[in-house]
Amino acid sequence: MDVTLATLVWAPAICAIQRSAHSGLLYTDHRYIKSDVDEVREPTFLVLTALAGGPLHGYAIIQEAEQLSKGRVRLRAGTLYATLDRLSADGLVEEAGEETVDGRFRRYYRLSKPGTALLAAESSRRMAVSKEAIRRLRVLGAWA
Amino acid sequence: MTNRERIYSRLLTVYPRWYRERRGEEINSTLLEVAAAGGRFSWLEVAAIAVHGLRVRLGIGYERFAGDVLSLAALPGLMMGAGLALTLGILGDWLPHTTILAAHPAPIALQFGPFWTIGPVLYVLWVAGATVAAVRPRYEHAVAWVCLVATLATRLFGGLARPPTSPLLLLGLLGVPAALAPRTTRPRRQLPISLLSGVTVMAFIPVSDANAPFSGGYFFHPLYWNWGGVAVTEFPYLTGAALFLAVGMLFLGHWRGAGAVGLLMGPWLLQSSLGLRPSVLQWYGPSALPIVSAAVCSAVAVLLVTCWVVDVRRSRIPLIEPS
Repeated sequence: MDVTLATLVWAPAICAIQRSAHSGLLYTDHRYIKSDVDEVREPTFLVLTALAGGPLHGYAIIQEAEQLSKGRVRLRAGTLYATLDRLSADGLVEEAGEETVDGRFRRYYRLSKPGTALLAAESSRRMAVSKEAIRRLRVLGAWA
Repeated sequence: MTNRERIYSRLLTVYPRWYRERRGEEINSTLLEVAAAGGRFSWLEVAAIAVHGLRVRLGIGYERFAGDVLSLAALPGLMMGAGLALTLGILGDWLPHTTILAAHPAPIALQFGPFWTIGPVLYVLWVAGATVAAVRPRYEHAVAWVCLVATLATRLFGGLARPPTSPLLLLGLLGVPAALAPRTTRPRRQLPISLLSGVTVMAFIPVSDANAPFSGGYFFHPLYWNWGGVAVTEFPYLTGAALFLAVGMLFLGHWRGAGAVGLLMGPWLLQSSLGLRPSVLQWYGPSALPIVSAAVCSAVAVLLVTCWVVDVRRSRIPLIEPS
Protein backbone atom coordinates (compact mmCIF):
# COMPACT_ATOMS: atom_id res chain seq x y z
CA MET A 1 0.00 0.00 0.00
CA ASP A 2 1.24 3.46 -0.85
CA VAL A 3 2.77 5.23 2.17
CA THR A 4 0.58 8.31 1.75
CA LEU A 5 -2.56 6.19 1.55
CA ALA A 6 -1.47 4.12 4.54
CA THR A 7 -0.88 7.30 6.55
CA LEU A 8 -4.26 8.61 5.47
CA VAL A 9 -5.99 5.47 6.70
CA TRP A 10 -4.03 4.71 9.85
CA ALA A 11 -3.14 8.16 11.22
CA PRO A 12 -6.69 9.12 12.17
CA ALA A 13 -7.20 5.68 13.65
CA ILE A 14 -4.16 6.04 15.88
CA CYS A 15 -5.17 9.61 16.80
CA ALA A 16 -8.62 8.36 17.70
CA ILE A 17 -7.19 5.65 19.95
CA GLN A 18 -5.01 8.23 21.70
CA ARG A 19 -7.91 10.65 22.08
CA SER A 20 -10.08 7.91 23.47
CA ALA A 21 -7.74 7.60 26.44
CA HIS A 22 -9.60 10.48 28.02
CA SER A 23 -12.73 10.91 25.95
CA GLY A 24 -15.95 9.81 27.61
CA LEU A 25 -14.33 10.11 31.02
CA LEU A 26 -15.24 12.57 33.71
CA TYR A 27 -12.77 13.58 36.40
CA THR A 28 -14.37 13.70 39.79
CA ASP A 29 -13.20 13.07 43.30
CA HIS A 30 -9.64 12.32 42.18
CA ARG A 31 -10.79 9.62 39.77
CA TYR A 32 -12.05 9.29 36.26
CA ILE A 33 -15.55 7.91 35.83
CA LYS A 34 -17.47 7.44 32.64
CA SER A 35 -19.28 10.60 31.70
CA ASP A 36 -21.91 8.75 29.71
CA VAL A 37 -23.34 6.99 32.75
CA ASP A 38 -26.25 9.42 32.64
CA GLU A 39 -28.20 6.53 31.16
CA VAL A 40 -28.68 4.69 34.45
CA ARG A 41 -30.88 1.68 33.81
CA GLU A 42 -33.21 0.44 36.47
CA PRO A 43 -31.17 -2.60 37.61
CA THR A 44 -28.11 -0.36 37.99
CA PHE A 45 -30.15 2.24 39.84
CA LEU A 46 -31.53 -0.43 42.16
CA VAL A 47 -28.06 -1.83 42.88
CA LEU A 48 -26.71 1.65 43.65
CA THR A 49 -29.73 2.40 45.84
CA ALA A 50 -29.36 -0.91 47.66
CA LEU A 51 -25.70 -0.17 48.38
CA ALA A 52 -26.57 3.31 49.64
CA GLY A 53 -27.93 1.60 52.76
CA GLY A 54 -24.49 0.16 53.58
CA PRO A 55 -22.16 -2.58 52.39
CA LEU A 56 -23.96 -5.67 51.04
CA HIS A 57 -22.96 -9.03 49.55
CA GLY A 58 -24.31 -10.46 46.28
CA TYR A 59 -27.40 -12.25 47.56
CA ALA A 60 -28.30 -9.37 49.89
CA ILE A 61 -28.17 -6.99 46.90
CA ILE A 62 -30.58 -9.27 45.01
CA GLN A 63 -32.96 -9.30 47.98
CA GLU A 64 -32.71 -5.56 48.55
CA ALA A 65 -33.32 -4.79 44.87
CA GLU A 66 -36.40 -7.02 44.91
CA GLN A 67 -37.77 -5.24 47.99
CA LEU A 68 -37.00 -1.77 46.62
CA SER A 69 -38.84 -2.58 43.40
CA LYS A 70 -41.76 -4.18 45.30
CA GLY A 71 -40.96 -7.53 43.72
CA ARG A 72 -41.00 -6.17 40.19
CA VAL A 73 -37.29 -6.67 39.49
CA ARG A 74 -35.53 -9.87 40.44
CA LEU A 75 -31.87 -9.64 39.50
CA ARG A 76 -30.28 -12.81 38.18
CA ALA A 77 -26.78 -13.65 39.35
CA GLY A 78 -25.34 -13.20 35.84
CA THR A 79 -26.94 -9.77 35.55
CA LEU A 80 -25.87 -8.78 39.07
CA TYR A 81 -22.20 -9.64 38.54
CA ALA A 82 -22.13 -8.03 35.10
CA THR A 83 -23.51 -4.87 36.72
CA LEU A 84 -21.04 -5.06 39.61
CA ASP A 85 -18.16 -5.59 37.16
CA ARG A 86 -19.19 -2.53 35.19
CA LEU A 87 -19.75 -0.38 38.26
CA SER A 88 -16.40 -1.50 39.72
CA ALA A 89 -14.60 -0.78 36.45
CA ASP A 90 -16.17 2.69 36.39
CA GLY A 91 -15.12 3.25 40.00
CA LEU A 92 -18.69 3.61 41.24
CA VAL A 93 -18.62 0.75 43.75
CA GLU A 94 -15.75 -0.77 45.68
CA GLU A 95 -15.13 -3.88 47.71
CA ALA A 96 -15.73 -3.61 51.44
CA GLY A 97 -14.45 -6.88 52.87
CA GLU A 98 -15.10 -10.62 52.74
CA GLU A 99 -16.33 -13.29 55.11
CA THR A 100 -17.43 -16.91 55.07
CA VAL A 101 -20.82 -17.71 56.61
CA ASP A 102 -22.04 -21.33 56.88
CA GLY A 103 -19.32 -22.36 54.45
CA ARG A 104 -20.41 -19.79 51.91
CA PHE A 105 -18.05 -17.10 50.75
CA ARG A 106 -19.39 -13.54 50.73
CA ARG A 107 -17.79 -10.44 49.33
CA TYR A 108 -19.25 -7.11 50.36
CA TYR A 109 -19.57 -4.03 48.18
CA ARG A 110 -20.17 -0.40 49.01
CA LEU A 111 -20.72 2.82 47.12
CA SER A 112 -17.61 4.84 46.34
CA LYS A 113 -17.72 8.64 46.45
CA PRO A 114 -18.23 8.95 42.67
CA GLY A 115 -20.96 6.29 42.97
CA THR A 116 -22.66 8.28 45.72
CA ALA A 117 -22.42 11.43 43.56
CA LEU A 118 -23.91 9.60 40.59
CA LEU A 119 -26.76 8.16 42.68
CA ALA A 120 -27.50 11.62 44.09
CA ALA A 121 -27.53 13.17 40.61
CA GLU A 122 -29.71 10.40 39.17
CA SER A 123 -32.14 10.50 42.14
CA SER A 124 -32.42 14.26 41.81
CA ARG A 125 -33.11 13.95 38.09
CA ARG A 126 -35.76 11.27 38.62
CA MET A 127 -37.35 13.25 41.46
CA ALA A 128 -37.58 16.39 39.34
CA VAL A 129 -39.31 14.45 36.56
CA SER A 130 -41.67 12.77 39.06
CA LYS A 131 -42.58 16.10 40.69
CA GLU A 132 -43.40 17.57 37.31
CA ALA A 133 -45.44 14.48 36.41
CA ILE A 134 -47.42 14.78 39.66
CA ARG A 135 -47.97 18.51 39.12
CA ARG A 136 -49.39 17.87 35.66
CA LEU A 137 -51.55 14.98 36.91
CA ARG A 138 -52.97 17.27 39.62
CA VAL A 139 -53.87 19.78 36.95
CA LEU A 140 -55.69 17.02 35.13
CA GLY A 141 -57.34 15.94 38.36
CA ALA A 142 -55.86 12.48 37.97
CA TRP A 143 -53.75 12.60 41.15
CA ALA A 144 -55.39 12.08 44.51
CA MET B 1 -23.64 -32.43 46.54
CA THR B 2 -27.13 -31.87 45.11
CA ASN B 3 -27.91 -31.81 41.41
CA ARG B 4 -28.28 -28.08 41.49
CA GLU B 5 -24.91 -27.60 43.20
CA ARG B 6 -23.34 -29.84 40.58
CA ILE B 7 -24.90 -27.83 37.75
CA TYR B 8 -23.78 -24.51 39.25
CA SER B 9 -20.31 -25.84 39.85
CA ARG B 10 -20.00 -26.96 36.22
CA LEU B 11 -21.60 -23.74 35.03
CA LEU B 12 -18.76 -21.68 36.44
CA THR B 13 -16.38 -23.22 33.93
CA VAL B 14 -17.86 -20.84 31.34
CA TYR B 15 -15.75 -18.15 33.01
CA PRO B 16 -12.04 -17.88 32.27
CA ARG B 17 -9.70 -19.14 34.97
CA TRP B 18 -8.59 -15.69 36.19
CA TYR B 19 -12.22 -14.64 36.66
CA ARG B 20 -13.16 -17.94 38.36
CA GLU B 21 -10.31 -17.50 40.79
CA ARG B 22 -11.49 -14.00 41.58
CA ARG B 23 -15.26 -14.39 41.64
CA GLY B 24 -16.09 -18.10 41.17
CA GLU B 25 -16.65 -18.96 44.82
CA GLU B 26 -18.62 -15.77 45.37
CA ILE B 27 -20.96 -16.37 42.40
CA ASN B 28 -21.45 -20.00 43.44
CA SER B 29 -22.36 -18.91 46.97
CA THR B 30 -24.84 -16.36 45.64
CA LEU B 31 -26.48 -18.96 43.39
CA LEU B 32 -26.72 -21.41 46.30
CA GLU B 33 -28.15 -18.78 48.62
CA VAL B 34 -30.83 -17.99 46.04
CA ALA B 35 -31.55 -21.73 45.86
CA ALA B 36 -31.59 -22.11 49.66
CA ALA B 37 -34.11 -19.28 49.92
CA GLY B 38 -36.54 -21.37 47.90
CA GLY B 39 -35.79 -19.91 44.50
CA ARG B 40 -36.84 -22.35 41.81
CA PHE B 41 -34.22 -23.68 39.45
CA SER B 42 -34.27 -21.47 36.40
CA TRP B 43 -32.70 -22.09 33.03
CA LEU B 44 -32.82 -18.33 32.52
CA GLU B 45 -30.46 -18.01 35.48
CA VAL B 46 -28.16 -20.55 33.85
CA ALA B 47 -28.37 -18.67 30.52
CA ALA B 48 -27.57 -15.36 32.25
CA ILE B 49 -24.44 -16.86 33.79
CA ALA B 50 -23.43 -18.50 30.48
CA VAL B 51 -23.80 -15.23 28.55
CA HIS B 52 -21.92 -13.29 31.22
CA GLY B 53 -19.14 -15.89 31.15
CA LEU B 54 -18.92 -15.68 27.38
CA ARG B 55 -18.67 -11.89 27.55
CA VAL B 56 -15.93 -12.06 30.16
CA ARG B 57 -14.05 -14.60 28.05
CA LEU B 58 -14.30 -12.37 25.00
CA GLY B 59 -13.34 -9.30 27.01
CA ILE B 60 -16.55 -7.48 26.21
CA GLY B 61 -18.11 -7.54 29.65
CA TYR B 62 -17.36 -4.00 30.67
CA GLU B 63 -14.44 -2.83 28.57
CA ARG B 64 -15.35 0.41 26.96
CA PHE B 65 -14.37 -0.08 23.34
CA ALA B 66 -15.58 -3.59 22.51
CA GLY B 67 -18.74 -3.29 24.58
CA ASP B 68 -19.70 0.06 23.13
CA VAL B 69 -18.91 -0.97 19.56
CA LEU B 70 -21.06 -4.09 19.94
CA SER B 71 -23.87 -2.07 21.49
CA LEU B 72 -23.74 0.45 18.66
CA ALA B 73 -23.71 -2.27 16.02
CA ALA B 74 -26.44 -4.38 17.66
CA LEU B 75 -29.66 -2.90 16.31
CA PRO B 76 -28.24 -1.85 12.90
CA GLY B 77 -26.98 -5.44 12.55
CA LEU B 78 -30.43 -6.87 13.30
CA MET B 79 -32.01 -4.37 10.91
CA MET B 80 -29.53 -5.23 8.15
CA GLY B 81 -30.36 -8.88 8.77
CA ALA B 82 -34.08 -8.09 8.58
CA GLY B 83 -33.51 -6.10 5.36
CA LEU B 84 -31.62 -9.01 3.84
CA ALA B 85 -34.27 -11.47 5.03
CA LEU B 86 -37.09 -9.35 3.65
CA THR B 87 -35.36 -9.06 0.29
CA LEU B 88 -34.70 -12.77 0.11
CA GLY B 89 -38.26 -13.49 1.12
CA ILE B 90 -40.05 -11.07 -1.19
CA LEU B 91 -37.91 -11.61 -4.25
CA GLY B 92 -36.97 -15.23 -3.72
CA ASP B 93 -38.53 -17.89 -1.61
CA TRP B 94 -41.84 -16.14 -1.22
CA LEU B 95 -42.70 -16.81 -4.84
CA PRO B 96 -45.26 -19.63 -4.99
CA HIS B 97 -43.84 -22.74 -6.57
CA THR B 98 -46.13 -22.48 -9.58
CA THR B 99 -44.53 -19.17 -10.64
CA ILE B 100 -41.07 -20.64 -10.46
CA LEU B 101 -42.10 -23.85 -12.19
CA ALA B 102 -43.65 -21.84 -14.99
CA ALA B 103 -40.43 -19.90 -15.45
CA HIS B 104 -38.18 -22.93 -15.26
CA PRO B 105 -37.77 -25.12 -18.31
CA ALA B 106 -37.33 -28.36 -16.36
CA PRO B 107 -39.62 -29.70 -13.63
CA ILE B 108 -38.23 -29.31 -10.15
CA ALA B 109 -39.50 -31.07 -7.06
CA LEU B 110 -41.02 -28.99 -4.30
CA GLN B 111 -38.89 -28.73 -1.23
CA PHE B 112 -40.80 -26.96 1.52
CA GLY B 113 -44.55 -26.79 1.21
CA PRO B 114 -45.54 -24.16 -1.31
CA PHE B 115 -42.07 -22.60 -1.19
CA TRP B 116 -38.71 -23.61 -2.48
CA THR B 117 -36.93 -23.55 0.83
CA ILE B 118 -37.63 -23.22 4.53
CA GLY B 119 -36.33 -19.66 4.11
CA PRO B 120 -39.69 -17.85 4.50
CA VAL B 121 -40.08 -19.12 8.08
CA LEU B 122 -36.59 -17.92 8.93
CA TYR B 123 -37.03 -14.59 7.17
CA VAL B 124 -40.30 -13.83 8.93
CA LEU B 125 -38.59 -14.64 12.22
CA TRP B 126 -35.77 -12.19 11.44
CA VAL B 127 -38.10 -9.38 10.41
CA ALA B 128 -40.37 -9.90 13.43
CA GLY B 129 -37.35 -10.18 15.72
CA ALA B 130 -35.76 -6.95 14.49
CA THR B 131 -39.10 -5.17 14.90
CA VAL B 132 -39.44 -6.40 18.49
CA ALA B 133 -35.84 -5.39 19.26
CA ALA B 134 -36.46 -1.92 17.83
CA VAL B 135 -39.62 -1.37 19.86
CA ARG B 136 -38.56 -3.19 23.03
CA PRO B 137 -34.78 -2.92 23.57
CA ARG B 138 -34.94 -5.19 26.61
CA TYR B 139 -35.71 -8.16 24.33
CA GLU B 140 -32.82 -7.44 21.97
CA HIS B 141 -30.56 -10.15 23.42
CA ALA B 142 -33.26 -12.80 23.44
CA VAL B 143 -34.32 -11.93 19.90
CA ALA B 144 -30.76 -12.06 18.63
CA TRP B 145 -30.12 -15.47 20.18
CA VAL B 146 -33.39 -16.88 18.83
CA CYS B 147 -32.52 -15.62 15.32
CA LEU B 148 -28.97 -16.98 15.56
CA VAL B 149 -30.08 -20.41 16.76
CA ALA B 150 -32.82 -20.60 14.11
CA THR B 151 -30.35 -19.64 11.37
CA LEU B 152 -27.86 -22.24 12.53
CA ALA B 153 -30.60 -24.88 12.83
CA THR B 154 -31.74 -24.10 9.28
CA ARG B 155 -28.20 -24.64 8.03
CA LEU B 156 -27.71 -27.85 10.00
CA PHE B 157 -31.11 -29.48 9.73
CA GLY B 158 -32.72 -27.83 6.74
CA GLY B 159 -31.62 -30.59 4.39
CA LEU B 160 -32.26 -29.87 0.73
CA ALA B 161 -34.91 -27.34 1.67
CA ARG B 162 -32.47 -24.91 3.22
CA PRO B 163 -31.44 -21.64 1.58
CA PRO B 164 -27.83 -21.46 0.35
CA THR B 165 -25.08 -21.13 2.94
CA SER B 166 -24.03 -17.61 1.85
CA PRO B 167 -27.18 -15.75 2.93
CA LEU B 168 -27.39 -17.87 6.07
CA LEU B 169 -23.80 -16.97 6.94
CA LEU B 170 -24.55 -13.29 6.37
CA LEU B 171 -27.70 -13.45 8.48
CA GLY B 172 -25.93 -15.24 11.32
CA LEU B 173 -22.97 -12.86 11.41
CA LEU B 174 -25.21 -9.79 11.34
CA GLY B 175 -26.96 -11.03 14.50
CA VAL B 176 -23.76 -11.60 16.48
CA PRO B 177 -23.29 -7.99 17.74
CA ALA B 178 -26.82 -7.93 19.19
CA ALA B 179 -26.30 -11.32 20.83
CA LEU B 180 -23.09 -10.24 22.54
CA ALA B 181 -23.74 -6.54 23.22
CA PRO B 182 -23.43 -5.86 26.94
CA ARG B 183 -25.87 -2.93 26.97
CA THR B 184 -29.25 -2.54 25.38
CA THR B 185 -29.82 1.12 26.17
CA ARG B 186 -29.29 3.26 23.14
CA PRO B 187 -29.56 6.84 22.04
CA ARG B 188 -32.77 7.78 20.25
CA ARG B 189 -30.97 8.55 16.99
CA GLN B 190 -29.82 4.95 16.69
CA LEU B 191 -33.26 3.78 15.58
CA PRO B 192 -33.40 5.83 12.32
CA ILE B 193 -29.78 4.92 11.60
CA SER B 194 -30.63 1.26 12.07
CA LEU B 195 -33.68 1.51 9.84
CA LEU B 196 -31.55 3.22 7.21
CA SER B 197 -29.03 0.36 7.40
CA GLY B 198 -31.78 -2.16 6.74
CA VAL B 199 -33.23 -0.15 3.86
CA THR B 200 -29.75 0.28 2.34
CA VAL B 201 -29.29 -3.48 2.27
CA MET B 202 -32.71 -3.91 0.66
CA ALA B 203 -31.89 -1.30 -1.96
CA PHE B 204 -28.40 -2.63 -2.68
CA ILE B 205 -29.07 -6.33 -3.18
CA PRO B 206 -31.59 -6.21 -6.05
CA VAL B 207 -29.29 -3.77 -7.90
CA SER B 208 -26.35 -6.12 -7.38
CA ASP B 209 -28.40 -9.03 -8.60
CA ALA B 210 -29.42 -7.20 -11.74
CA ASN B 211 -25.78 -6.39 -12.50
CA ALA B 212 -24.36 -9.77 -11.61
CA PRO B 213 -23.06 -11.76 -14.55
CA PHE B 214 -25.10 -14.83 -15.49
CA SER B 215 -28.12 -13.59 -13.55
CA GLY B 216 -29.56 -13.04 -17.01
CA GLY B 217 -32.48 -11.11 -15.58
CA TYR B 218 -33.84 -14.44 -14.42
CA PHE B 219 -35.56 -14.00 -11.13
CA PHE B 220 -34.29 -13.43 -7.68
CA HIS B 221 -34.33 -16.87 -6.24
CA PRO B 222 -31.57 -17.92 -3.84
CA LEU B 223 -31.13 -21.19 -5.67
CA TYR B 224 -30.34 -19.23 -8.82
CA TRP B 225 -29.01 -16.04 -7.42
CA ASN B 226 -25.36 -15.97 -8.27
CA TRP B 227 -23.75 -15.28 -4.93
CA GLY B 228 -20.29 -15.94 -6.33
CA GLY B 229 -20.73 -13.27 -8.98
CA VAL B 230 -22.20 -10.76 -6.54
CA ALA B 231 -19.43 -11.39 -4.05
CA VAL B 232 -16.73 -10.94 -6.68
CA THR B 233 -18.16 -8.02 -8.61
CA GLU B 234 -20.45 -6.05 -6.37
CA PHE B 235 -19.71 -6.41 -2.67
CA PRO B 236 -16.29 -4.71 -2.88
CA TYR B 237 -18.00 -1.46 -3.91
CA LEU B 238 -20.27 -1.62 -0.87
CA THR B 239 -17.35 -2.36 1.41
CA GLY B 240 -15.28 0.38 -0.22
CA ALA B 241 -18.05 2.89 0.50
CA ALA B 242 -18.21 1.64 4.07
CA LEU B 243 -14.45 2.05 4.40
CA PHE B 244 -14.72 5.70 3.38
CA LEU B 245 -17.53 6.14 5.90
CA ALA B 246 -15.42 4.56 8.65
CA VAL B 247 -12.37 6.70 7.83
CA GLY B 248 -14.57 9.82 7.77
CA MET B 249 -15.95 8.93 11.20
CA LEU B 250 -12.43 8.42 12.53
CA PHE B 251 -11.48 11.88 11.24
CA LEU B 252 -14.45 13.32 13.10
CA GLY B 253 -13.45 11.47 16.25
CA HIS B 254 -16.36 9.01 16.26
CA TRP B 255 -14.06 6.08 16.85
CA ARG B 256 -16.75 3.83 18.36
CA GLY B 257 -19.04 4.54 15.41
CA ALA B 258 -16.20 3.73 13.02
CA GLY B 259 -15.65 0.47 14.88
CA ALA B 260 -19.35 -0.37 14.57
CA VAL B 261 -19.28 0.32 10.81
CA GLY B 262 -16.21 -1.90 10.51
CA LEU B 263 -17.91 -4.64 12.50
CA LEU B 264 -21.09 -4.52 10.41
CA MET B 265 -19.08 -4.58 7.21
CA GLY B 266 -17.29 -7.72 8.42
CA PRO B 267 -19.85 -10.22 7.10
CA TRP B 268 -19.97 -8.54 3.68
CA LEU B 269 -16.19 -8.29 3.51
CA LEU B 270 -15.98 -11.94 4.41
CA GLN B 271 -18.37 -12.81 1.59
CA SER B 272 -16.27 -10.77 -0.83
CA SER B 273 -13.12 -12.50 0.34
CA LEU B 274 -14.77 -15.87 -0.21
CA GLY B 275 -14.85 -14.85 -3.88
CA LEU B 276 -11.22 -15.93 -3.92
CA ARG B 277 -12.29 -19.58 -3.69
CA PRO B 278 -11.08 -21.67 -6.62
CA SER B 279 -14.64 -22.72 -7.42
CA VAL B 280 -15.60 -19.07 -7.91
CA LEU B 281 -12.41 -18.06 -9.67
CA GLN B 282 -12.85 -20.76 -12.30
CA TRP B 283 -16.02 -18.99 -13.42
CA TYR B 284 -14.97 -15.38 -13.05
CA GLY B 285 -11.22 -15.57 -13.43
CA PRO B 286 -8.72 -13.73 -11.24
CA SER B 287 -10.03 -10.35 -10.16
CA ALA B 288 -8.44 -7.57 -8.14
CA LEU B 289 -11.70 -6.79 -6.36
CA PRO B 290 -11.86 -9.73 -3.96
CA ILE B 291 -8.14 -9.30 -3.26
CA VAL B 292 -8.73 -5.65 -2.35
CA SER B 293 -11.71 -6.77 -0.32
CA ALA B 294 -9.64 -9.34 1.56
CA ALA B 295 -6.98 -6.67 2.23
CA VAL B 296 -9.60 -4.25 3.54
CA CYS B 297 -11.11 -7.06 5.62
CA SER B 298 -7.70 -7.75 7.18
CA ALA B 299 -7.04 -4.05 7.80
CA VAL B 300 -10.41 -3.55 9.50
CA ALA B 301 -9.87 -6.68 11.60
CA VAL B 302 -6.39 -5.50 12.66
CA LEU B 303 -7.73 -2.03 13.49
CA LEU B 304 -10.59 -3.41 15.59
CA VAL B 305 -8.36 -5.86 17.42
CA THR B 306 -5.80 -3.09 18.07
CA CYS B 307 -8.47 -0.81 19.54
CA TRP B 308 -9.84 -3.71 21.56
CA VAL B 309 -6.46 -4.72 22.98
CA VAL B 310 -5.46 -1.10 23.72
CA ASP B 311 -8.73 -0.54 25.52
CA VAL B 312 -8.68 -3.78 27.48
CA ARG B 313 -5.11 -3.14 28.60
CA ARG B 314 -5.94 0.41 29.57
CA SER B 315 -9.01 -0.62 31.55
CA ARG B 316 -6.94 -2.99 33.71
CA ILE B 317 -4.35 -0.35 34.61
CA PRO B 318 -5.26 1.72 37.69
CA LEU B 319 -6.25 5.20 36.61
CA ILE B 320 -3.60 7.75 37.50
CA GLU B 321 -4.52 11.02 39.11
CA PRO B 322 -3.46 14.04 37.05
CA SER B 323 -0.78 16.21 38.58
